Amino acid sequence: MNTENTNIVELCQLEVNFKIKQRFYEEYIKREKKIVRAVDKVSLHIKKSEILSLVGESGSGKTSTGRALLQLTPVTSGSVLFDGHPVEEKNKGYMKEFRKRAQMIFQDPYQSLNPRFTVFDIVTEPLLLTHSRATLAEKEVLALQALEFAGLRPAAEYLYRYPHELSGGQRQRVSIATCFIMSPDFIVADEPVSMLDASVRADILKLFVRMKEEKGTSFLFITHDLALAWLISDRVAIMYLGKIMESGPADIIAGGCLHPYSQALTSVLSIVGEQSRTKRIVLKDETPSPLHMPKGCRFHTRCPVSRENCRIEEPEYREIEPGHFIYCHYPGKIV
Amino acid sequence: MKRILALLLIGAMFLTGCATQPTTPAPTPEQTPAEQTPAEQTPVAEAPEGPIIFRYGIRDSWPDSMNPLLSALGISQTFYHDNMYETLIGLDAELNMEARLAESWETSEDGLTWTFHLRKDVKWHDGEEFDADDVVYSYQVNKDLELPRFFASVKDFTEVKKVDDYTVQLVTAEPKANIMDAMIDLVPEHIFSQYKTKDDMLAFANESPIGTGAFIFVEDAKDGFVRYKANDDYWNGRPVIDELVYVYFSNADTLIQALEKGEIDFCGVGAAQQDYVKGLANITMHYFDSNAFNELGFNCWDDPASKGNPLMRDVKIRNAIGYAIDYDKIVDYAMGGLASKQAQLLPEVTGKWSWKVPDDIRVDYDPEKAKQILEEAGYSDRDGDGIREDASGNKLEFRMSIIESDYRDCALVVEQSLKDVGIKTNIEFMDTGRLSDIIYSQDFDTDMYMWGWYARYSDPSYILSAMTTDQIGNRSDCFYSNPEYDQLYVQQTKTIDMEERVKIVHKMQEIIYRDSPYLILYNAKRINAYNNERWENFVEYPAFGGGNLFNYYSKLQVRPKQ
Amino acid sequence: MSFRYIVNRLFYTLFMFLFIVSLNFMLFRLMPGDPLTMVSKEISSSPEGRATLERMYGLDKPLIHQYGDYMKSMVTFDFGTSFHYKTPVRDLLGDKIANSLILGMAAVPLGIAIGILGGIIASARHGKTADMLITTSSMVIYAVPTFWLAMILLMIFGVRLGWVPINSMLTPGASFATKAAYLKDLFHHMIIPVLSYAIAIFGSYLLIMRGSMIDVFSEDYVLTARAKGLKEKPLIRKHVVPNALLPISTSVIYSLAIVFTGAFSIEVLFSWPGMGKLMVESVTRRDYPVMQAANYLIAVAVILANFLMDIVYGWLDPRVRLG
Repeated sequence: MNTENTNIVELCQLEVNFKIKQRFYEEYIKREKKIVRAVDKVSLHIKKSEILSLVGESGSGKTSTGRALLQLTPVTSGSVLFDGHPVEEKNKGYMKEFRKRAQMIFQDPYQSLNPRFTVFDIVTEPLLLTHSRATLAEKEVLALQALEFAGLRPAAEYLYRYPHELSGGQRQRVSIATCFIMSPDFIVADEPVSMLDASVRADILKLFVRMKEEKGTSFLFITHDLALAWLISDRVAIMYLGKIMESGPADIIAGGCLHPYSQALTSVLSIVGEQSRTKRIVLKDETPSPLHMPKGCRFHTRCPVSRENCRIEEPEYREIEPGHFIYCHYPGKIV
Repeated sequence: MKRILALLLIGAMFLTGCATQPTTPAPTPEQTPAEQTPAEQTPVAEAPEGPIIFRYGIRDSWPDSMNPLLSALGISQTFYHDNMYETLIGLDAELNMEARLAESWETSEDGLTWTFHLRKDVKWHDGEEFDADDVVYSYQVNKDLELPRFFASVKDFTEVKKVDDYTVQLVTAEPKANIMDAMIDLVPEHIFSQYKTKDDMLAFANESPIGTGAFIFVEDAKDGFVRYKANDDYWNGRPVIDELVYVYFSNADTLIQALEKGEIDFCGVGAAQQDYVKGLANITMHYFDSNAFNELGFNCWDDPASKGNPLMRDVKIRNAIGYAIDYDKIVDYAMGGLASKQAQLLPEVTGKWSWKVPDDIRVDYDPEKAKQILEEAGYSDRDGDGIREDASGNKLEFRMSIIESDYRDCALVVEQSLKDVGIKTNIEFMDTGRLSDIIYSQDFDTDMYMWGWYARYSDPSYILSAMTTDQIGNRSDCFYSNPEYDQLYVQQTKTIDMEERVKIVHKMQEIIYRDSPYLILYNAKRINAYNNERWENFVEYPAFGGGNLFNYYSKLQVRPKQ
Repeated sequence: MSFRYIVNRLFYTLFMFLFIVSLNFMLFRLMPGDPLTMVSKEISSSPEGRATLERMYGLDKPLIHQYGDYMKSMVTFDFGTSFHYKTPVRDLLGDKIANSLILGMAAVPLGIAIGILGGIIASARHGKTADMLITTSSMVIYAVPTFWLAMILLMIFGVRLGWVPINSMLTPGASFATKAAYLKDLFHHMIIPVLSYAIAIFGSYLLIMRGSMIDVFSEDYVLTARAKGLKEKPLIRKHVVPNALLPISTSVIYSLAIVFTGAFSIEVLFSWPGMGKLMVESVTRRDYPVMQAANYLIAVAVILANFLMDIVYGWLDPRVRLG
């Protein structure tokens, strides 16, 4: 543990397993245990004032990672360090601290706000923890500030509305305001804009950047949309079937990724200002079920350049350049 | 959450407090000083030194009107009128005439005038004197206003005369032998006479009844209980008990539990509960034959409007059915043993009126004989389907309308019995209302049914009349018509000589027995049960067949166990 | 809620009301048998006597006339005289309704409260043993016939232990020196019926509440609240329960509204002189005035309950309000 800590969050070999509900016979007689390894020994770090995008398809384990990090899903093994301290349920004292400084923004703006609460109630609820002795007037002031920041102007007009009177984008702004009011050091944003109109997305993402620059907040930005990730991230990590395939600075992943999966993903994007590739790499087959993980390299069943070795031996997650990690036997550009 | 709970509880208690005001049957402040004797001030359930209270538990319909002239249900007599009102003449335990409000009486030579000499020391519950005015009024008003309960009893009197303050004469056009049928409840003229028109009287509920009887009305909590207190000035002696309370139960099991626990002192026991009560040491059971009998009735209506199967009118078939029915099974299985077989129309408890069936014509369970009668009458099973037909191919297939709540098991036994001799029965279950409809207001669209009567102890005329042609459209439910029977009926109403009259009544029963418009299935037995640790000195009434322990005499003399 | 909305609802309600009330009248007269045939065997009826009875019941008037009388009585709340009891129906009903209310207003809120609390507790421990125990036992109890349950309680507490009296509302014939003594007697008579009634009904509320709670638990805003560090108990109290109560609120109001119609099986078992028993017995006796009045009151209660439900639901759920 460094005394001079630059990382706000560190995940070491994080594992999150889910038990599948089985039939009695299978579970107790045959003693088969079916487990889904949603997050399979993932190691990550996020620096202070940094936005890390966690990219992957559905079922890759990115949401589980985010939730496990915030202790909203039980952690099977591995450790979560927040600002150097381990975060665990049993350490209640630190948990309280943790909850104040680490927040989450959800994907579905229509479900994430309590329909019976007014905007004021929602936004000021966290204050029960942080400013428990604040008066109503003080709370109002803080709430207004938060709403202003989140882009709801004039804030006073929104203060006593109900969620069903707001549009999707406005609701997400309320969620952001709710986070903002606590001045958190770290936010997990789980697909925050996927349910919003394209026109609104940019605004919301700009808010994240503003928070990072003005408040020093770090973000774990979870998304399936690689194009979005580029807009705001400092670093990008790409996940597949519970493991990180490749991670590194945004530019490198954008222009110079070396993992076959990353290359396949980037090849189908058209990036303005960049040379678009003429050849699109299409992956074969479908993603296998997480119940039956492929042996050897997780990706080999779909990999266009897999070799004999890939079926047998699992690659190591190693650093091939400073800050650039990869999980592959034979990384390199595909022609 | 807790606040909601607390609010709800408080709300419930509040409502309880508020809502209980109007329902409290407890005496209002104005009533209390007048009603309560010193002995009544303590809450009754606790004090053994307090008033002697006899609690009778009852499980039946709640009675109807407290106005004895308007009430239509038999249960009202038991609950209300028998305790407070009286007649001129009553019946003793042998069912012979006994003086009540009339000390003595005589009939004129021609039998057309009955003279009654009234008792002189009788007072109404409100202190007024009882005299001839009350008697004259009571008889006259029922006739003039055509009041439902007693009109039929008094319509034969052409004149009701007051001879003097304590002598009354009732005059008829023909000699009236069934004077006991004309023994109506006597009501106070000074209270009832203010209701002059029919509508006035129909609206008079008589909620504070005044009578001459042994018990004075105290209070009535509808569907709960009725309370009476003893009449200190009763002409036949003050009852030993101080209070008589009828407690109402809607459930037979709680009734028995209350008896066991001592919450009530006396009640009737049903067939299902007799074994349980037998096991209770502090309860004595008493079996007796009641005056209730039940019959299998046939549609004997020979009018073209009748929708009944015409084969039902063949007396041979009815006779055959008489032999086909397994009466023992009905008594044992359907009635749980709480019945005895009855053959003649009037049950044995009516004493001299009941005709003894001679052994040579007695009909009993004999399926072979039944089959023989049917064969000889020309009904055989020609097509082999188990059901007999007549020569033209009409099947012996009859509908049977059954009140399910009362006669279900009986009906099944009869169905089986008839099946064994080749008669098919189609049972239709229904309630009393529907059966009444079918028989009384429609076109008698059925062939057989089961029903019952209470034979009066006082006089046989009522039951006998049910078979007369006159009563078709009124009381008759079998629509039987026999001129010889009708003539005998008229004759016995006029025969004042008791022996002669009894002979005629017996002959009438013989005719019914042979023609079988009814097949009497059984005479119901009943069970009294009382707390023997607390009470003694009951009287059996009548003295035949065991006798019901709860009656006029018992109420006067039952006392706490010494 | 807009004024127009309320008026619209009112109109519809009125129309429905008139229709039901008229149907009420027809229905009973279509039943086979009338009050006279019920007593025909008992009294020594003569044609004249019958005619008098008909007059007493008002059955001698032509049907249209009877209908007119009936409609008038419904509006003025003067329901005539009971055929059976020969007392004004209004007084009769007043007593009985009050008695049913005493029983119902104690038992029904109790049952609902137990159900809701139980549902909350079970759902908070969803999947664990406590949940399974609570759910299974309430399902079993709910399935058991009320009659049997009440009898068992009565046997134990009334007969064997002798702690409580076993019949009716008050000790028959007792006079009470003080109000306190009266309430004490009433309370003694009330305990077992109220308990039986509450136990009989809590099952359905528990299961509905539990289901509702489980649904709400999976909502995102609950997760948000957790992420914000809210402790479990305040979380349940502030976020989960209010939202879970919504579906159940309508059925609660409805149950409370028809409380005064009485619970037939409980009333019969305990000889509790309430509405439920009265209504069923009136049908057997074809006591038209009572049946009509009772049905009418039920219709009124249900319609009012409906109306109330609309309003209360609007108050509880802001989403409906501005619709």
